[in-house]
Amino acid sequence: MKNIIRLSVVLTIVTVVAAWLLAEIYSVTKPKIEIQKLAKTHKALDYVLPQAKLLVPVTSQVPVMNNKGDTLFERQVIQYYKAYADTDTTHLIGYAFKAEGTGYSSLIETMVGIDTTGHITSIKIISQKETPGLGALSENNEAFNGKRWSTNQFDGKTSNDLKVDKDGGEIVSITGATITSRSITNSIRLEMEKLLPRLGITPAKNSKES
Amino acid sequence: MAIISELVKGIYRENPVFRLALGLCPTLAVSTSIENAIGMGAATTFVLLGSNIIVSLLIILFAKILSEEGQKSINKIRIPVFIVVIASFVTVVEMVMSAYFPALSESLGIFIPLIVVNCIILGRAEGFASKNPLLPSIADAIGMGIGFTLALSAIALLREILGSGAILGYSIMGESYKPVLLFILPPGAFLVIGIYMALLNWLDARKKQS
Repeated sequence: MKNIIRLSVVLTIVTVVAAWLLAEIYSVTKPKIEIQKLAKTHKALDYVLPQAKLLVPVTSQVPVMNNKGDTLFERQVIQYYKAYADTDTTHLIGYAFKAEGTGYSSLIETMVGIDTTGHITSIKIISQKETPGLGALSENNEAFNGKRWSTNQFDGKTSNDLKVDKDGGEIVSITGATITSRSITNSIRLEMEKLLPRLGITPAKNSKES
Repeated sequence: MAIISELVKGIYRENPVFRLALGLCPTLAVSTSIENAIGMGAATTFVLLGSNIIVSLLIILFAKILSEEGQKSINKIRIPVFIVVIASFVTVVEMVMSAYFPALSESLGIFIPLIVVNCIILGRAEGFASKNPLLPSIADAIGMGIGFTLALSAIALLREILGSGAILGYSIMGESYKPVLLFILPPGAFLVIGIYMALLNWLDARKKQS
């Protein structure tokens, strides 16, 4: 009996100390990590819409509810960005948005740029923690040669084209990482299908020929 | 002299992958390219060093504050204590890295979550650091880390040449070479590890005979 108490006391002390240490370091590093994330988002925006001089975030209020369904407060969430060619809002050149999908072992965030007709200008993977050597190859952005996955293969595509080869589409998936490829492709398609009608881009305008 | 032998043993005589067959799970995942192998090796060496130091110090602390009988009973919960220590240490490393060293976190970040489940870390904490003083534990960690890195690189060299026709990302087999996909996938890693293990055993057997 005495033994059991001693063991639980030691184990409790060890775990409490570890938890306290983690909490302390988490609260110190959290704001720094947020800043790094923001810098990464900006770099990605610059990559997917290089001609944009001005980016205006379009936000919406998302209610945060408790488990009884009462609204506690409203949170501002960036839905997408409007991109302008000059420093004023006269010449709209496109939009950028973030697509999120669950891959094989992590949440994959992708920044997507589209022009005013709904064609993708460029995409960039912002964060992923997929298997190194397999799913992690999703970040590859070398020139697309038609055989190997590259984020460049999305350029010029519309939401209707977004399907991986295993599902009968034309997106070349990563060898040995179909789940990752499918997750990225589908997350972009779903986000575009949601966003394009809101932007007033009709399916007719969004056809392959335009 | 003893310290040096602790350092060297991890490289060949007690190589973690080929001799102790430890850490095979991350080995399968990460040894697809030499670049990944070196990244994973460096990250593992660092975490191994940290966990060996903490475990070694913890054992010294227990020896100071507990009676002999107390130490004996504490022995029963050493594994959960090690797991808490290692998991906390890895999490701290991940948070500090992504907050203050974004470039490093970019290249090593995806390996960190894999390290938590790397049994080399627990294996060395349990098998060596908990039974030895601080300095040999440090030497053991460095030696094992180097041995792990070398083993990963050796496997990755073969897998990258056969599976992608490249070394360190540079294509060496020419355009007409059709990569053997099997070697990029986990079964290829088993094949390569098996070949290396057989080779080492054959060398040993020959040495014994002569």
